[in-house]
Amino acid sequence: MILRTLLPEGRRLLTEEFLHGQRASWSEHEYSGLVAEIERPVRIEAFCEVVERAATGGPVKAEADGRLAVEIHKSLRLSRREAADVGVWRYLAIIVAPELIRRRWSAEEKTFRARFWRPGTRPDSNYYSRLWWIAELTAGPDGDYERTRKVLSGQARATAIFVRSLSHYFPAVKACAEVLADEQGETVARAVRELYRELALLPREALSDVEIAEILRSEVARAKAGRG
Amino acid sequence: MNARSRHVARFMPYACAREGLKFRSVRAAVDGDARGEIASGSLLGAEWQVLTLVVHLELGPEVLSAVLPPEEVFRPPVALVLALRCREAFLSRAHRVTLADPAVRLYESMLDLRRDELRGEVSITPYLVRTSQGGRRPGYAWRRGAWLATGEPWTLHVDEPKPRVGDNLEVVRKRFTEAPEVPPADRANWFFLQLDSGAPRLLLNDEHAELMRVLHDESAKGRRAAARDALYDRLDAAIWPALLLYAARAWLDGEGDVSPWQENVLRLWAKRLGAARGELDAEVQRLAERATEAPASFVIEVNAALQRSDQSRTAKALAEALS
Repeated sequence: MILRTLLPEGRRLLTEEFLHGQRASWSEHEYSGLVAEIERPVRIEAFCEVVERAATGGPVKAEADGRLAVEIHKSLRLSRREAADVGVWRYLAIIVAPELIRRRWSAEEKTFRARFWRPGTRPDSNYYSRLWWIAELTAGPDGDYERTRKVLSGQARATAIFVRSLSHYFPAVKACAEVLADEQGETVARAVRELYRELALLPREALSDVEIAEILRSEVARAKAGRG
Repeated sequence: MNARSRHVARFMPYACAREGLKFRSVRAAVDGDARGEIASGSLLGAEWQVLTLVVHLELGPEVLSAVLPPEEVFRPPVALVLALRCREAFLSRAHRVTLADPAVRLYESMLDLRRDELRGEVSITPYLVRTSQGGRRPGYAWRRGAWLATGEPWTLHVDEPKPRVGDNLEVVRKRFTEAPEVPPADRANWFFLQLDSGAPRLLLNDEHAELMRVLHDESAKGRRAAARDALYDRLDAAIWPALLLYAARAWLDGEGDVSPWQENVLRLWAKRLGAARGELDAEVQRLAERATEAPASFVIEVNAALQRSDQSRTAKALAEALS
């Protein structure tokens, strides 16, 4: 099976019946005019296996995100250029593997439709896009998925980092994963917020991971002192 | 960049030169073949793998003496950093150029860009930054990494630029009985605001034929004009609060790192609700906080502002309708 991109017109496939699972999937005939080839053929059997395995059984919990992000990233060897095509994530979520998203989130949630459609790494983005990109941005050039597991071990941590463009800079992500691994929600949110403010004067690209980690440590200490 | 960051960047607490660095020229080689100079904003064709850029940057003549304390000017503790960013491909990378001789003001640097790492628009922003911590002197930056000078980014389109999604409200006429995005219970309604992804969309129900005719009526006066204006007022009252509450939530969640439309809406209303000149950024932050913390009062505030601007039109419409 080959990866394709779902065109913007494919949005009409997100019907209430589909979202609620009363209509499990779409036939090739139904989506034929709504998809296009991508620049290079990419096989997705490995991705399908990962998702199928995860979707068997009951509801999928947030605790599974770290493991799933690593497995999805390993199974889908995309370049950044390919992964930056939002249509490929929509294709995977709507045409290939909607069931896992239905098991992970409730169709009653207001953001449920966005979890199929919205690009990026925000907490309500397309589920597969978010997990793949977080794995990509955390594993870095050394391919260390331990960072991926760390940042996804708490939703507050992942949200604080990946709603901000500082997450595009690997040394910043590396520093966040290291310093914030054992910190709790409010401390994490405050420390990342303050780091982001510091970056108005210190362009992120001028800083190393060690320097960013140093700023974060002092912000964590301030956040804890402020709370105490 | 969030509101506070923008505020700090606008009113920098130390000496800096916002236009202290300029791209003199950028020459390109595509997969090893020299292509000559390439202008900022150019679109590159599809058939390439590696783009090599030779960048010449000029540092303004008075910049070092303006941004560094006198004792540091002769051995400036600074470096040039080129920030390579590609938002669509979540890429942010540094390219560093050391300034060995303060007398030299033209710098050359070479960067390789790989097409498989990029999509959409790529920008290169120059920064002159401190490379070491200095003594604390009033009016001068002292922290390692602080930017002292910057300049206009140089940009390149790797792909054909798309119309910017999210800058405007997209208005679409549809038959609601055939529109899956409209919940079944709302399919007899005449409008539906969709906010769950990308650009906001206002769907108008084409099945209300007479209503659509009135909405698109171009009369300057008379009953039809009055009816049309009343319909637009109804839309205003429903849409603005929804857009504002949605954008405010995104603004606070993302620390101001939001879609263009969300920022536009917040800035527009910060002005409309009376932000003083020069305080717009701070007012956007306050507006977002107010909208999120006390949504009911905020909606009342927005509706009051809408009514204030509509008073004369409403009176006129009423007179027309009852005539």
